[in-house]
Amino acid sequence: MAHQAERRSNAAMWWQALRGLRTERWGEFLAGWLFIGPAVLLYGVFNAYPIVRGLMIAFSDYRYLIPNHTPFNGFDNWAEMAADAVFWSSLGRSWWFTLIFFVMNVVVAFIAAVLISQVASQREAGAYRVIAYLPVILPFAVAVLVWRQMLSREFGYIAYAMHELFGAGSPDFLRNAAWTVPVMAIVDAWKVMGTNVLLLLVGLYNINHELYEVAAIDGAGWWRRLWYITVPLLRPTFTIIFVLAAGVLGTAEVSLVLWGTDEAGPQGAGRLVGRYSYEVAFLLGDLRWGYAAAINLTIGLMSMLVSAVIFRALRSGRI
Amino acid sequence: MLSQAAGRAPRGGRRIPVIDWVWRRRGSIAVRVVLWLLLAYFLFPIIWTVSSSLKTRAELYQTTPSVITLQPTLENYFYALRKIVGFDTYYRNSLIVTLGAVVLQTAVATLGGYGFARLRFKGRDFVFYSMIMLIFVPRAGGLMAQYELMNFLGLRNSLVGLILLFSAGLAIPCFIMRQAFLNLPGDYEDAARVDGCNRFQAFWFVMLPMATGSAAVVALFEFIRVWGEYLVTLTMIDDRNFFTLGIGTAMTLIGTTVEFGEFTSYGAQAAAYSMVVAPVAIFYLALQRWFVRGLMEGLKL
Repeated sequence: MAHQAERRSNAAMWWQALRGLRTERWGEFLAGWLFIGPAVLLYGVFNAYPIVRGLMIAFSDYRYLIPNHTPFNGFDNWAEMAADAVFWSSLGRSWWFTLIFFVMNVVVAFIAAVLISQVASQREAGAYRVIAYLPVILPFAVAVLVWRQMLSREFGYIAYAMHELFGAGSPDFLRNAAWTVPVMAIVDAWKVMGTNVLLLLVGLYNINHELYEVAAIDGAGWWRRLWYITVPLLRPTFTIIFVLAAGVLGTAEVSLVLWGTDEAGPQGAGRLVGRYSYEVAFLLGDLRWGYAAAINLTIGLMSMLVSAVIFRALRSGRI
Repeated sequence: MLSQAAGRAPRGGRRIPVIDWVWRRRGSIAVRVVLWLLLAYFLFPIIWTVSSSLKTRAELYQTTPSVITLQPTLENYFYALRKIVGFDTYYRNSLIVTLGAVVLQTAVATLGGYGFARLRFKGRDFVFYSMIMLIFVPRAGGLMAQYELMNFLGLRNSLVGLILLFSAGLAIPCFIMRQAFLNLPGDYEDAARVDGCNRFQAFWFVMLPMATGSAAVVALFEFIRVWGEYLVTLTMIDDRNFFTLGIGTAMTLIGTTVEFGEFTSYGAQAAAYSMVVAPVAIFYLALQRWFVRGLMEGLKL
């Protein structure tokens, strides 16, 4: 009998403990992790882990085709990079590319956004927004190939238009080494500019209209209002745009699609540094992952440095 | 009188209705002229491609290229479908990967965003801010490590592998969904809980319907991104049976003039591009109302 009672109280104790676990906080904890669990798992395995692992690869002489060859080699990759002429020439091209890309994406996108914001009719402005964003939705390969066709000297519309308008032969955009970088930058900028137009429009629509009215009463013209009200108030948007565009220094896609994976444009003049690291990692020799990762890390740190400088300058109002 | 109301008389002092009308609207006309030039830059390559795809062979090679075709024909489309080997396979693969990634990512990000926004529990903020911080860590060997991982899991050359990889870019989607749920009033949820809903029911029946706009934004971004993805697919897939349109078209058409003797017709290429773009264009035009509004609300933060 006593035994029986003891048993029952034991069970009751366990039940009590379980109920204790089911307090509000534990319930929230469990529910919370059930909600975020799938996201954490997916993100952790397929995104966070490769990022961390990729950082480690950069400090090794990992060659994919040599089995079990992942020796840690400290900063040797950087010593090699310093003496690598291909790296330096492609890095130079990438900077030139980034400069043109930035100018297009900030200046042209700004002009487009300001003009669209001047359109009073909502329906009309809506149509313009859709058009401006249209290139963004195109698959990358299609966008580049369409431009390749436009720029072709034999069949392209641009060559034809230049011939008709100026009577001059057009430069051979796709075979002249001097044109490779500008062509890539213009195509890439065309593809992504719509995002910036929309971001700037959001900023423009959020500016308080009374500011313009007050300035107009004080006698400020359209240009002055633009320069002294619009531009300074769009500073946060410009910050977002710069941060979003920071990764463009390491871009590889446009070069890979435009010239194909075998050759890097005329005389290798289409080899951006992102493409170079892709070649090192997946196309050349032993597939030198370690060296390629080190190149990527260098580019990544460079673009972070640049965006940090721009960020600070925009924050402090010096630009 | 009208011209005086506009503040300035047209030249010569006489009122010529057309000039008067133009002068009064000079500001908005100037805006339109510059704007249309810019929009032509955005739109012209697309229009030209679509119109080329509808042209006959004779029209394609006439010396004065026309922008709008006079005798539209679908000939180029049939030709491209016949000539591009595996176009239907690429198309099917692209649809599977894109829809899979969109559904998986939107579902997971919505659940996660709700958890991050509405529940308080240990580890929540640490996990969320780690995800955000990782956006800013340079992708040194990320692609290589992903290749290694997929190889290890046996998911390289597999559509499931691509779906998992593409839906895993969850930092920004989770951020957008968290923001959406933070902006909703909590009273609805409390009322539902009092009425006997459990957490999941409150999420599913009460909160989720109010966050559809943001979920649509997440889905649209993901659709556009995955449909057009190039580099990761190129790296992970080398079996032609698993090519998506992104790499399939590029590989087929870059080699056109050399490999495919007769496939030099620009009309057929343009038809192929138009077919590649069609699904994402339809998806975008269907959702664009949600999209601009969602973007504008999302960015106010």
